[in-house]
Amino acid sequence: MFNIYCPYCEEHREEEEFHPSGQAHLARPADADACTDKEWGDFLYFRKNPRGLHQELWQHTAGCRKFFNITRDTVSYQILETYKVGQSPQVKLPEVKLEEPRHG
Amino acid sequence: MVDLIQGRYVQKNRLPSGGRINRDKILTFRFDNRYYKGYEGDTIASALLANGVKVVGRSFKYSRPRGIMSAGVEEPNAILQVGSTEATQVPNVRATEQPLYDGLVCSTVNGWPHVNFDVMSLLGRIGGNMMGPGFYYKTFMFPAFMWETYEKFIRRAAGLGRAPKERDVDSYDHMHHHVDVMIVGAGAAGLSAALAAARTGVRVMIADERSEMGGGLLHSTTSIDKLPATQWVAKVCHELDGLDNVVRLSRSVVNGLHDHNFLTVNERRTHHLGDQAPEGVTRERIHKVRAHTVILATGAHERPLVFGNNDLPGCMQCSAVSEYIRRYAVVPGGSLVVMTTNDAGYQCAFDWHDVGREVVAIVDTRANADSDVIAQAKQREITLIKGSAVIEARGQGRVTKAMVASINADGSFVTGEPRTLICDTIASSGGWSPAVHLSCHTGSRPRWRDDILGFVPGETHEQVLSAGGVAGTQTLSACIQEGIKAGTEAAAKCSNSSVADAMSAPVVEDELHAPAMALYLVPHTKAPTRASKQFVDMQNDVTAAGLQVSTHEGFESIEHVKRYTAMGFGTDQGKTGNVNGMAIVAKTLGQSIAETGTTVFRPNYTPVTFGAVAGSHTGALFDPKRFTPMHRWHVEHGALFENVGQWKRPWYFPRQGESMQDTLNRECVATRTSVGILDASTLGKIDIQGDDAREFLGRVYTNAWAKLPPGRCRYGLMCGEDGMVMDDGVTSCLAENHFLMTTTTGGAAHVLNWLELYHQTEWPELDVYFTSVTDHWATMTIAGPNSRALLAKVCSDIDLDKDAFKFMDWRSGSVAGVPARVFRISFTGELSYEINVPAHYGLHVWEALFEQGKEFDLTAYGTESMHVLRAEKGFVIVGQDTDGSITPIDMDHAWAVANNKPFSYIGKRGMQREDCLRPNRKQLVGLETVDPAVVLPEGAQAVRNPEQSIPMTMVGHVTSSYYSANAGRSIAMGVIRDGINRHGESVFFPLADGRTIEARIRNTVWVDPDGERQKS
Amino acid sequence: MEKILVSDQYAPDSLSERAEFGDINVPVVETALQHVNLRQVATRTGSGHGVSFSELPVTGLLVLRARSERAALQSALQTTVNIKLPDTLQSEVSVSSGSHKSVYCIRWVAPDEWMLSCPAQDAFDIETRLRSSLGGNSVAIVNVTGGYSVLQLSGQHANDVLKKSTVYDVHPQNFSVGKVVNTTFAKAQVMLRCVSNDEYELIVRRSFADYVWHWIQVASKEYGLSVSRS
Repeated sequence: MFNIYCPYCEEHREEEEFHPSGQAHLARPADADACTDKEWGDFLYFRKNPRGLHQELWQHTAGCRKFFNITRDTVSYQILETYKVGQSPQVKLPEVKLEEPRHG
Repeated sequence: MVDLIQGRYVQKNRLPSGGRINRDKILTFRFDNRYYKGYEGDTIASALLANGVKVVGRSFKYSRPRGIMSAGVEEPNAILQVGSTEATQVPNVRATEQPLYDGLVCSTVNGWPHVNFDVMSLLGRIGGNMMGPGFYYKTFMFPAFMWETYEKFIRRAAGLGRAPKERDVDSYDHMHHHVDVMIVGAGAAGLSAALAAARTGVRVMIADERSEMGGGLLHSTTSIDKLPATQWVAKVCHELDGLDNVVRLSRSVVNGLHDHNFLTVNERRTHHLGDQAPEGVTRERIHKVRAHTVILATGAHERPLVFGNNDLPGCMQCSAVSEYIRRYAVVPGGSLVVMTTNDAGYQCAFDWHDVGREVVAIVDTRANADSDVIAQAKQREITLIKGSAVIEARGQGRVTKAMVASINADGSFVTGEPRTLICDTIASSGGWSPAVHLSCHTGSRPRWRDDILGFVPGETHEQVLSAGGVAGTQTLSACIQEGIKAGTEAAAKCSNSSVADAMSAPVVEDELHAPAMALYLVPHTKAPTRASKQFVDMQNDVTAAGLQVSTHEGFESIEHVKRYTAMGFGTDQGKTGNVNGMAIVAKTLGQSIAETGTTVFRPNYTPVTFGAVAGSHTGALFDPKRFTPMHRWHVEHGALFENVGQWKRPWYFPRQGESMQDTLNRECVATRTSVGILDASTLGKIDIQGDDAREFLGRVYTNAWAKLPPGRCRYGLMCGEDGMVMDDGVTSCLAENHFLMTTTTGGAAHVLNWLELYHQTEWPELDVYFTSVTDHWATMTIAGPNSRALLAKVCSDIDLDKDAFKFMDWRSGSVAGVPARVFRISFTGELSYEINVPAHYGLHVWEALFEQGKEFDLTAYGTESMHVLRAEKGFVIVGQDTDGSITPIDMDHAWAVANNKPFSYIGKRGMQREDCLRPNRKQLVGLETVDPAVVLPEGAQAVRNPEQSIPMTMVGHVTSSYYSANAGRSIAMGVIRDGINRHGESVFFPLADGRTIEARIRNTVWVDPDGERQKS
Repeated sequence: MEKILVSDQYAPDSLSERAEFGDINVPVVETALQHVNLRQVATRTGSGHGVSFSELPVTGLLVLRARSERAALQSALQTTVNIKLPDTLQSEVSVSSGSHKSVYCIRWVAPDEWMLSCPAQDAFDIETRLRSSLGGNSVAIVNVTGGYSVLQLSGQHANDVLKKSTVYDVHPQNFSVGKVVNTTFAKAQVMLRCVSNDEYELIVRRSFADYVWHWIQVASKEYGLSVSRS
């Protein structure tokens, strides 16, 4: 069970109060109608699954109901930082060369 | 045993005095159908040994007789079934850990049919070489169809206890703690750490698995600060108990050290009191502890040496022998041979000798050790055999002889002729293995240290310190100093106050220690595969030969060896055997132990009962049950309930003598002919306010909201970004910037979070607020041609005229004297009003409606009739008629999609993906069975041609299906490929029972196709 | 045109205890735990136990939401009920009168969310006055009086019951008098306030009240539970 610092409540709270919402910083395309099927498909379905540092979106569901971001190491499970929506992470992620997702 | 001459009960191995037992409190217990006596303070193990019981179980695979080997948590053999009644059965209890209480009943788990005569041992004896590693994999593979037969046999033969067949009579609970410093283990290091930390004022918890704190100090001969060790322990505990910043938990085993220093501690609160917990007390409690810093002071387990027949009852750990003598005043036998690779092993010979029993010899594997203990042995005139080892134990069912031979300096082979020593107990010590288990739970790998011949906790990213035996520290003074240092350091991390001199180290005199010898497998005159079995892991019957065979068969990674041989499996988790096993594998592979590494220890450290895991979350408290304000009325009126999420909703209200279908027919007909009432309080309700509330609705719903005026309601459809229908409901405009959204009962929480997600992450610039008001409003729907007349009787301040209060209008006013909002919306297709009042008035208004509704025979209906009534009108239920692959277009709801809105609402782009636009998608249609009496089963799969060969091409399935009394026939909805274009065609439903049902595709509306009633 | 609807949700003379249904024009109020008949339970349990439990009568509850308009909300509150917003998140400001410890209590539970409690019959009046005082400022006010049950837990073992029930750190060092948090309560959720030493207020969703009551009975069994109807 994680011990998560809620950047809004400014306290560490138990994981039971939170709900994970997947990868952070997924911006909805500004002009959705102009997206190609491939672009829209990437936005809809393709997610990172890194070994190491990852930015995740969580919600403090049983607390303040606010969404916020976490930089977490998926190997050690250490949380390096939490920050509000709209803020930038302080921890830099290593450059990873992503393979072009395959479309079937 | 009853001494027949004296007529007195004699515990033949119990010393006349000494021990930490209460001789005034004699306890009777039963082991395998025989009665014995022990004392308060005993464990089952100490009491059995006191009574001279040697064999306590049969081994897992070879069914060899086994005796008690240790005195603590590391015991691999003495695993018992405890419980005097069926309901209080507890399997897999370590006899060394279970305190004795009066009336305790226990039995061996592996002896089938009896521990002293075991048919399986035949297999063990003759099949010794047959049952090598991977035996089960290799033997029971073929033929495949025989597996079920094999499995029964194997399970019976290999059982480790059994679960009770009756409901547990005890209760269990959990408790949360948040502490600054958590200390695991209360030996010398742990107690020192606790005291050092506690004195600084930080929040401290210390937990220890034993009933008394003190660990090895409880049977130690040394003194601390000139006090006997036990008195020092008492003094420390007394001080800790006086501090209100300390929680001290005995009988509490820390089973897991999880991420971010979250610990699960299993406290056995009453297992020392009896079979059943006292009234009002939970039997076990799991403490869930969040700690800033954890100090591991878990100590070390003594490693027994691996030699021939080392599993014979009578073979024990040296430290266990000492503990039985000094703590329980029990000498486990009459004549002792000690084999040791280190100085610590000598102590048990001294203890044995000092109580007046025979020490046959101390066999020291080292040729030239020079230490205080050797002088002490000489002083006691104990025979000392240096540079030698016990290479094999002999005896039938118990030790009667030890074969001793000289060995070479590194212990790799025997150098002399074996000779025989007569004895009944062989104690061995191969050194100490730090109890590093918890340090591994978050992924850290232990580190091998050649200087202490053991693994110590490895690097970790958590705030975890170790002190004492677990850190490889072997002298008492150093353990205490490390404890103090760790406690002080941990406290300093959590507080700003200066804590420099909170505690100074007490005075302890350590003895001079000579280095230990690295020996794991004692050599034999024969190779391991030919010698008598040399056991590494007693619980899983893993032998030295087995490990060697595994490596020869190609299993070189220690993780693979573990799985092939089962070493370190089960409740044992390799507490005594793992290091020996790894050393043997390392040697076979010609590599170092450090290179070989260890397997990963995982939670839990010891077995946990299901009761403890469940805690209080059982029975009525397993999951919350949510009730509406009118629930009591429903109960009083005979409702049967349906679970909808956590809600209890009335399902239907049967009257005496009615079948379910009778009830549904009555409820549905009453609603369509007069007036019915439904408790709809469970519908999700979200209050939406803000200057941009309307804009926000337009973005999350598929239809248009720009022009909905106050006083009006509209049906809305919500999609995910993939274009699939997610939820639906009616949203009403309360005022220009104020709306009330309703959601499905099951979707309420999800929709609220969905709105928050989009507002907080995508459109924070929109001025809008969402507040759940689901629980605030009691909602009751009156539906049917008489609903207006009924409402008029309880509501005088709303103009109910059909032109003044039209379909899809809402009005506020009062109903039955209570402020209310009334919505003229309909899920039945009838003239219908949804009355909302604050929940605390709900029952009042409900009863008022019944009082006034007598003349209309107002009929309560439940969810089942609601389903029938809405299906008669073709109204869908999201989640029943949709399944996450249905777009609004598939649902034939194109009318609820407004693609001319300026903002690309959620779902719009998704719906336009190539796959969503293709023909031949499954679409929602009505299904009219050719035989009107036949009701299609929901979920039945449709085919176009029932004559085709199997597997048939399936073209859709039934989503909703009922018998409709109003339609006078069965009605159904389903999704069929290209269904919207195929009205009038037949589809067939071949069922599992052999029937094939034919149905014609049609529209979904069965009653009042023009929708006149709801507007009337 | 009215931008936000403010409607009266309180029926006059309706604070009588629930009796048998009689006259439709005499509304009766039911708290969430009415069916338990706590008064009768109270007689049975006696007093002087480790834990004491009660359910408050229906209490007026208003959810207040504001982001950039916090100052406006602050001044509106001051003019209408003479109460100021708490200075720090997860704390409260109470106004007491006579024996009533908190006639008004405002709890700051999320960056843009407060819960104001008041006598049930005042909720409409306060909402109306706040609305008019706020003018066009973008603040949300929602009357949720019926949506919650307000429970009280006190006694020397009340804290132990909380430790069994919530994952939040309720140690007095962390959860001191005046602190308010939203957190879990067994498998439900709670707005939890430390009213005074060994005295806590639990605001739970009405539909979960029965579950919470059952849970409290089980969790307090070893300490003894007395029930009072306040």
